[in-house]
Amino acid sequence: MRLPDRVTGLFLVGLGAAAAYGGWQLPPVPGQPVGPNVFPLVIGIGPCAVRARDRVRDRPLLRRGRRAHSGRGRPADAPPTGKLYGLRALLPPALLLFYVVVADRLGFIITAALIVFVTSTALGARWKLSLPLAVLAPIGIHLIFSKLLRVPLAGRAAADAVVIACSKP
Amino acid sequence: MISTWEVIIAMLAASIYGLVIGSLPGLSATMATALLVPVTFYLSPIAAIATIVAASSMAIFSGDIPGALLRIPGTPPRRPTPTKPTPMTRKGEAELALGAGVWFSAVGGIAGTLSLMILAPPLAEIALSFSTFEYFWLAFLGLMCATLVARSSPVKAIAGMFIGLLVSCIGIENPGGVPRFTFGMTDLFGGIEPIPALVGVFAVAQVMRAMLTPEPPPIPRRKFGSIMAGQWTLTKKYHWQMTRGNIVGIIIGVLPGAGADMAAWVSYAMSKRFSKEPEKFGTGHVEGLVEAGASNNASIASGWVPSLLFGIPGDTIAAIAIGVLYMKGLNPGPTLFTEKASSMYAIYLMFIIANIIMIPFGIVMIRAGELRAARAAFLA
Repeated sequence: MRLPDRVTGLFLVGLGAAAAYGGWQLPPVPGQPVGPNVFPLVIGIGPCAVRARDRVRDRPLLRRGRRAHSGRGRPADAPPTGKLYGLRALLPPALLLFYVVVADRLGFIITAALIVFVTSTALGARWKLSLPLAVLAPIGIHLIFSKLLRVPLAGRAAADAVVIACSKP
Repeated sequence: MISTWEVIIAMLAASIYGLVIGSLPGLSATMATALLVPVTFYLSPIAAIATIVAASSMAIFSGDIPGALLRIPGTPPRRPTPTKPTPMTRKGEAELALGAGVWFSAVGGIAGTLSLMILAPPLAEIALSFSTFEYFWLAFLGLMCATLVARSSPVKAIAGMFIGLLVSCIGIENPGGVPRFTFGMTDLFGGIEPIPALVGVFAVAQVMRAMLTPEPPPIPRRKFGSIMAGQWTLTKKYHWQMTRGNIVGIIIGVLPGAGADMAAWVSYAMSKRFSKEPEKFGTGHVEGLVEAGASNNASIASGWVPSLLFGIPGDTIAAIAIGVLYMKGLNPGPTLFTEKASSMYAIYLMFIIANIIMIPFGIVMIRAGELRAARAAFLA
């Protein structure tokens, strides 16, 4: 999925403007010429300036690029271009959000197993591979963190307790 | 400091990890290093640096393996194209190409480490006399290096830099102690921690890219001959090219914002320019591979000079390493060489050990022959 420069440019302007506004709202420190508001203000203006420069200088370049990409043919090694194919790129952040929402309730093992299964399947692995991978990888990672690094992972679900109990000498 | 079991095990495990991740098509050395950061958090400072040094050195070399064995067209853009030995594979000389990769990378890495040992202390002495003004311009230079590191467009690189600076505004670490961009969430008061930021920027982004990468066409397998056979002959034949590659790699590595890719490209171009057989380049001629391979690993070690002295990264891997150094209380700066000199010696030794063990580990990795299975597991 490749967003057009126009879309990313508009996002930049929005982000920069929001940051500059947020910085403007911050209270100055009495007696100090430079307060916490200055840096976000300057940094917020930056992306807007970058976008403005992009509009002025690269316009013909963008037009040329668009014309160049309007050809009907597609290179042999180009990825498939279905309508929803590009949305696959959003799967990793979506799975991260999923982890944040459910990890405390389901525990690390089950949540990570679901994530590994979905990711490996999305990457084209057959269930014969993705299923054992989904079962073994979270247990392995859990053991590394809990036994080797002594770091508790999210949640205290039944599956996690079983792994901890089984790994006790 | 490095002869503890923790450091030895961490280094060996990180070496294997770096070789495996680097050799998986679509996964880069940067991603391998970024994914190690959460683990380094729980290690001692020396063991943490050892894992970064070992994994990054191994992953840089092993990135050539899928190029030779699988002919993957879509390896990450971070990989230095000149060192991809694909044309030699087509000629049935994959073992010579990969052997040259591992041998000259190791030699280059050791040459780079020697330069780090020689250059860094006198430069640190000069840097000790820097005042606030010099540090301001140094920081400015470091930020501007974002435009040099970028592969696509400098404008986009500057935009990315601004987004990074905005992220650094989050929290209460400002002159007034006022919460900035925390949206009432107390978790954000401390700002964005480096570990999630590094993993998000370098690892998650790479997985997102892999989601859209098509599968490469299968190739017939054949039995390999000796990996290291003929390397000594190559060293004698191309000793000048190797030395020139090492020197160019060291110089480019020391420049802030340059890095291994640029070193490999410049060396390849230089090799072609001064070669007696320039017409053979790109058709499976090993000369360019020798010089580019010697150059890119030399730049990895020498790239630590600006990173350790000024906190300015040579490339993305050095940027991650700087994050780890800060996390472990080894804040980059000239005082690192006076107050924590023993840690510096440990880093030098780790680089040398990592480059020596790269040879046997690299041979085992090339021989493993399980790349296709790994490819099927992760990206098929």
